[in-house]
Amino acid sequence: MSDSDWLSRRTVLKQAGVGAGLVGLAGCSSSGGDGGDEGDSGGEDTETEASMDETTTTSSSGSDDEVRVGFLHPTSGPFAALGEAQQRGSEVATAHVNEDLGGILGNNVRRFVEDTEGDPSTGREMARRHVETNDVDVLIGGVSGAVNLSVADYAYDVGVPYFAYGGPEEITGEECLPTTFRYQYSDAQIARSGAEWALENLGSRVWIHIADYAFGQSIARTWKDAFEASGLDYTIVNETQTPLGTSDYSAVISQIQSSDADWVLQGFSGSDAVNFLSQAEQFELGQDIMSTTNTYLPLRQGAGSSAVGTYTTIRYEPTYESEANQMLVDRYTSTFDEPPTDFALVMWSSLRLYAQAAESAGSLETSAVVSAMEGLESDEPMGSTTMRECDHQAVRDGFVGRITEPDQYDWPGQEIVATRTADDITRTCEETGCDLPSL
Amino acid sequence: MSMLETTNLHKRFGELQAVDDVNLSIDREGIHSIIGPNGAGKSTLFHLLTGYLNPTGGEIRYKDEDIAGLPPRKIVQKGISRSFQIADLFEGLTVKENLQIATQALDEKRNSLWVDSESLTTTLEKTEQLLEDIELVDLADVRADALSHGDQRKLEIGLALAVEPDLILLDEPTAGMGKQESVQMVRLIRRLVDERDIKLILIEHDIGIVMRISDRISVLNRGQIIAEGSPEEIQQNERVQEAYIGTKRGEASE
Amino acid sequence: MSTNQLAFLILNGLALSMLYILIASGFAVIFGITDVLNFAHGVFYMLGAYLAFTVVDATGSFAIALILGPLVVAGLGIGIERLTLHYIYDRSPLYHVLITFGVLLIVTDVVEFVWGTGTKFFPTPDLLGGAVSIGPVIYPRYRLFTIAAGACIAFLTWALFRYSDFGLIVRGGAQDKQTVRLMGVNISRYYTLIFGLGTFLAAIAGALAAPFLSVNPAMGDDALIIAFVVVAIGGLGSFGGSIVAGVIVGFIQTITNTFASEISGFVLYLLLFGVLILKPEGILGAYEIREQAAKLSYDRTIDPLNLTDRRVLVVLGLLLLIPLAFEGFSLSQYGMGLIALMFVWGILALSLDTVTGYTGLISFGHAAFYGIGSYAVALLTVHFTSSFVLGLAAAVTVAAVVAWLVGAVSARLSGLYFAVVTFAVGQMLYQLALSWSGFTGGSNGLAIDNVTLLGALDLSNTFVFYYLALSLLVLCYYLVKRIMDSPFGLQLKAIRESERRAKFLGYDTNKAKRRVFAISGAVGGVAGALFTTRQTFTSPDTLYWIVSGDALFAVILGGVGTLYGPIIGGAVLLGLDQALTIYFDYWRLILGAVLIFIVLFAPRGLVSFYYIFEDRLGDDDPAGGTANPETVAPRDEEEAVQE
Repeated sequence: MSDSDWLSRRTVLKQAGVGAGLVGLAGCSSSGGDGGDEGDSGGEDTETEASMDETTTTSSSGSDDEVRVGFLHPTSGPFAALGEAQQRGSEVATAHVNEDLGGILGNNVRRFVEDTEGDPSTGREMARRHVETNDVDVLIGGVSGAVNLSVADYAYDVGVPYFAYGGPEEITGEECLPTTFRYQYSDAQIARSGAEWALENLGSRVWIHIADYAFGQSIARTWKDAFEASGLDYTIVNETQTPLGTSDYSAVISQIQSSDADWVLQGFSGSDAVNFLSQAEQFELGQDIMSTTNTYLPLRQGAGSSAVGTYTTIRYEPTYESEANQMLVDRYTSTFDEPPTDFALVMWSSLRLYAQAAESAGSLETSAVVSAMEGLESDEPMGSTTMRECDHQAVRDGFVGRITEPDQYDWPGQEIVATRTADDITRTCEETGCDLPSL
Repeated sequence: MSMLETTNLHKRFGELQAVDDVNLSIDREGIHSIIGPNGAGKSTLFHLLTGYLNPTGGEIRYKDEDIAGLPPRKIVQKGISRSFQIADLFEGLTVKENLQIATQALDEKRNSLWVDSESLTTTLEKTEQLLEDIELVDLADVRADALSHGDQRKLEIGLALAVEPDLILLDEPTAGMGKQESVQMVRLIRRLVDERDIKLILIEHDIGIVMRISDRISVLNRGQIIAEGSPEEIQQNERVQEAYIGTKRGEASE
Repeated sequence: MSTNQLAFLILNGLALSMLYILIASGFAVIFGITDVLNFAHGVFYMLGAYLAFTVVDATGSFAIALILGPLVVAGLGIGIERLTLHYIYDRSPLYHVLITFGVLLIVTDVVEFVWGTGTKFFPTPDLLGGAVSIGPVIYPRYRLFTIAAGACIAFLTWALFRYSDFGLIVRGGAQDKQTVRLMGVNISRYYTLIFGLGTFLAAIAGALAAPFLSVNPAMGDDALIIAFVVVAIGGLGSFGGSIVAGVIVGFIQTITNTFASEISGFVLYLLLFGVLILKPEGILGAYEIREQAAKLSYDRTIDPLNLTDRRVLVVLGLLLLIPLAFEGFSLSQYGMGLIALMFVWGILALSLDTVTGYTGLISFGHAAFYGIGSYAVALLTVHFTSSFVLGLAAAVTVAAVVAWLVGAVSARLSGLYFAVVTFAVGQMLYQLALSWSGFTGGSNGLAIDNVTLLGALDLSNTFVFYYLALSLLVLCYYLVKRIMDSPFGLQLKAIRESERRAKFLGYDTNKAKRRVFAISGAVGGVAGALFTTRQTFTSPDTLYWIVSGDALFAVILGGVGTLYGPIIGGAVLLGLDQALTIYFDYWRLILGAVLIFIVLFAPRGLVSFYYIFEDRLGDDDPAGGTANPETVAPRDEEEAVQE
């Protein structure tokens, strides 16, 4: 009768697939599985205890025997394409944990998905829906840094572990939180993967062009730090910016064209990057382009031939040889008939790391999981990974690559041209500025 | 002494000289009518006198004060009110609300945010009185856009009167009415104006009516005053007849 | 500056100008003739690009795509016009705006459904690929082609209006519908064709832009904003003005992009704002507000309900009881929080109704006040205090002051200009919030600590927040209702019905507009303040124009001009949105359809269903005395009962 009851039931039914809809219409009562597992909510702060008790009693299906995982994917809005890629990732990750690892603590993982619409407010609202009506044990996902930060803040408030996807260094830096973990590279790791290599191989004269928003600004900042940290000689010829969502780059491209810069650092993603790349191709821009984002499959698909020949730090490459990667590739390609992406990788590894921590803690209780997570080592598809205790950032190797002509698929591929060690690319604990508050 | 006087009043729309060097002197007493063929500039003249349009040049003196270029509301506050050729009513509101808004304009609490508009007793009393005066008591709760054409014209006059002007300019108050109705309308106007001792300036196309009720008539053609005088004098004037013959038909079809 | 740079500047400026002219011309054509601000212009542009993409994919020919795509879109435009706008040209532009907003929602989802959400790579046609050297520089061939094509299309369109019979008739019809009708021409048929032509131009612009801008679902938004700005600067309703403005805007944008890229996001808005202040009718605006084109009128008078009305009391009683009655049973925190957010949306819609429903001014920038309220609380909490009372005071004050200024700037504009100015203000603030990241947190937004009420109550507690939002909703309604019952409120109604008449009664209508804007802004600020308090977060999205569109949607959905209707509308819209996102991936499509349905068949929104129902009952018993008193008691009787 009440809205929320109906909402939560719908959410559940949505997860369970089409068949369950009929059951819902037949009036599946909320009495079915109302007994909440105390273990589920045991980790909550005392101040939210009331709410937790309430949600456990209202959840419309049993939670005794399942681990409830709340994924946040922007399946509509500006990041919709990325959100959909993430969603495919979370689907295979869940199947992997259930089928290959035997679930978590012997229980099945149940996957809930909500759409953040790429909007931080909606993201927070959806995180709230996950916690309050889906009664999840852990939150994973979000694409943009803004959504990540707002969800992380909420997750800390209610004491639920959260695996971020976004890159801003403050997520595991100045705004680090005990409940927040990140398997994804931080922007600083990415910058250090690419900066030194680019100065050595592309030249010392750099033109930085970014989109004027958090992500772009973060790229400019972290790369300049990384240039400094490399100890090499470099010159920043110019630093320019365009507003997010700019479609015409002719002014800046002609400026770069007529400058003596060796290469351009491209500080934006999505359709901005596609526009920039295709216009750079039309203008026959002479300078090399280095990016942190051209590795993304949706971007390569969007930019097509205009991305070929540009350089990028690589977040994920399906042909990378490791046993863990083979598992991901097999499962993903057999489900979706296309290679996995970075979005899938991060969902996959985040859920795996959570599962391993819960196993070793022997509980889903937040504080136990958090302790188990700190220092956890695991072999993940892109190599071995350590979840660092001081800032909850995954520490792993970095890669630089080049976009190549289409080969196996319709869109351009990428080849790894350099590998950087985890230690080289990761800031020290002191540098991060992270001071974890108490849980 | 004249109440309203214009000196070399001009209004130009691009190439068109809509009001051309008009010198008009209107006495305090009696009814003054302005006639002329379609497009002669009668309405434009009214627009200039009431501040709806700004003159391109010239002076308008009202009670010895230059009012040219003042916004309409300032001119209204000085005591000049008007009606429009096509009734401009608050169509979605009832007759009573229409008049209430109009009478409220004189109330010192007209801008108050906090008192209930139904508590302004003086305004309400005046509204009731006006309803009676314009013979719309029975239709007080009917929306203005549901009134018959004739009643809308009455309401239009009521709105113009509600602000208690000293001078009222009526732009074809009988437009679109039958002969019988027009006569009644004119009678009503005459009574209302006399009761309140308001100076009336009238634009009217029915020459018969004009001749019957006017004390003085100005004839406008192509933006210029071509004749002025008593009804008898105007009837005799050749230039007036000339100006009218060519356009008589158009004038009748309105 | 080197010749090299200068050459680039000129070519880039030309290319951008032509693109802007192309984008704006379809919008200008439709507006100039039919007085419809077509918010769906952007999606038709996008559709043109996607169809071209598909045709190129299938046939490999860009030339075919350039003809076929726009023709299909024009057909679609004609179909949409025939089914919707065609019947409501005589209604207020508010309804036109909302119909096209509904079309925007639907087409966006259809595009995402058919083509997916990713950015599509649109290869440059082979013939036009690569670059050629022009004087000192090497310039892309395709851009040169767009410059030529843009000039051609603009010229042909201009010539069509200038020299053909068709042009003569539609221009005549735009000036004076009656006369053209008397001449035996069915002008509404021409309106259909004009709409078709406008969508054709939008689509061809999209198809031409596709190879040098990418094809993605966000492209429509940009195009809409550009069209809006260019047409408003050029002068609403002046095709020549749009061309001049396109060139000016294109070059100024290029110059800014080159020399001051930090502010390039603002240029459009600054230009627009400057023009509207200095020359409100636009550079070449010969457009006179056509009387009925600006007016919002209602077929039926629906008075706001008193708080003491029995029906209102019953609803309030239920709302008060909900959290208590269900506590510990089945209503989750989430559901209660959702109802509280419905209250917030109710307040926002109420705020808009004072300006739009009561005063008849179409505001398409109410997100500005919502966002200001939201940021006021966030910034205060971050920097000074977590006191809700102080945050609310700041939100209300700042929002009221900004609203007053907006009112002051735009008071002398009426009708659709008003919509354009408010839109520009909202977008300018959005851009500001996005760019001024040191202060606003930029696109990351601002996360804040929990806000407290009177130092004791933690407002992150859903229970407490629920009652706070409910009481503020009731308080706002009480205040607004009281103001609307005042002599000032009567003035507002007078302005809505006829501003000219109100002026000729001696009212200072500009002052009244400034004041009502300030009041509306203050109430909008309350909504924003509550939103941030609930979310402990804000971001530039609170200022985005879609929020303004949603607010108008809510007002119409509930019942424009009734004060309580919009509250219902806001609540229902939020509920609908939340519910639909769970059921359907393509919920925007459904919302768009609901909006169009409401506009066409129930222009007074949900509350009118009640009155239609009441009329049915009333047929049996016109006095309404003995029928169910719950439903048929007129307002006055109801009050008498209370006393």
